[in-house]
Amino acid sequence: MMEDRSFVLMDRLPGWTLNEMTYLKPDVLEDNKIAIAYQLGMHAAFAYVFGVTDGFQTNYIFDPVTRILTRIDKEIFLSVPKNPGHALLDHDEYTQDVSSCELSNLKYIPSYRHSDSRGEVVLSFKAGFLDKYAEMRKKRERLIALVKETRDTWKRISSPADILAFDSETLRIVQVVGALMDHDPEKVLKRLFEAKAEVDRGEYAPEEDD
Amino acid sequence: MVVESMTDFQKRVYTLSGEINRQIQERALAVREEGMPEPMQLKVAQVKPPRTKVKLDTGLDWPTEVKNFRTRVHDQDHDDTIMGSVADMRGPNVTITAISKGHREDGRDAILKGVRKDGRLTTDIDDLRILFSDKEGVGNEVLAGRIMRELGLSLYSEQGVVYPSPAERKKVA
Repeated sequence: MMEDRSFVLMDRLPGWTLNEMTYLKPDVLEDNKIAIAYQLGMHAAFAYVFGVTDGFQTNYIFDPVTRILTRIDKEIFLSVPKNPGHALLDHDEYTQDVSSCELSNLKYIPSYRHSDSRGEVVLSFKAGFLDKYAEMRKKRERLIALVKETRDTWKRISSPADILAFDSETLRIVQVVGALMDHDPEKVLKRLFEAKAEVDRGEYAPEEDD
Repeated sequence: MVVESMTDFQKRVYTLSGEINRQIQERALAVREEGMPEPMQLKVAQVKPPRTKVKLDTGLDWPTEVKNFRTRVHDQDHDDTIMGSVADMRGPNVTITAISKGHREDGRDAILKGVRKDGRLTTDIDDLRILFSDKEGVGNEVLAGRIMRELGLSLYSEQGVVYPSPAERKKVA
């Protein structure tokens, strides 16, 4: 029987999760709001393009010494939409999924929650988002190659019963990641904020027919 | 109160973004070349826990918290795995003294309190957390991490993520 090595422990966590800081270190959150928002923006861009749809508050660790925000728990990865063309439309399930996680994290910053300096926080988030999106587009071919390698590795590890179906899915994922990368970053950001507002109003994406 | 103009603010964001990117790049380089620099060194335990080993080696007296924890993880069919990790982490360095619930309903961020055996004070209690998981066994943590490294996004050491076999890890290293 194969050993189950699916969990790994680390000790001495170098920081706190966003929601921990809300209760334990709100001053740290506030003092570092620009750095945190900027990096949340970077990670949101990564999440949108590479189908990382569980960017909850507990999956971000902030180290106040280095001021680095680290994304943990990347179990959900390349979980990209069936039709990337729909991602920029109203009430799209994928965009709602990404936005309801990534944008919700901003509310842990006290002054964002109380609207005192919401503009500053949003501007920093936007700067991080656009910076990272630009970098992804610049490295497009290299990143696409890594996605292919990732899928090939999955194939080796998991030995899928239907190789052809797996390869077909790989092709689809690569195309979708490329298409998401080609979206206009400004439009994506706008849509993410709109999608978050939809979720807040309870206007969820309609169920898809299989 | 000094009111900062938007232009000044944008300059500040620009400066800060450069600084953060520089720090991330430096850290990514350090991780790549040397592993995590102190004091960021992460101690990582691989999971290799047959249940009998846990029973024999932990020495825990199964306080209520531990029992609850076992029940919770049993529901996920991961009790052996996690308790085995606890046993491994005890080793020569750490004694697990309590397990408390984290923030996640699935218990994967359970907080394990431990004290070191070298006589350090209780203020040195360590938080041990389950941060990485890969239930599907497809290595998402490492594979996503490769792309994150390419993009200069911060991530904890890839040494903290374990593939089904060391050989598989080498293949994608």
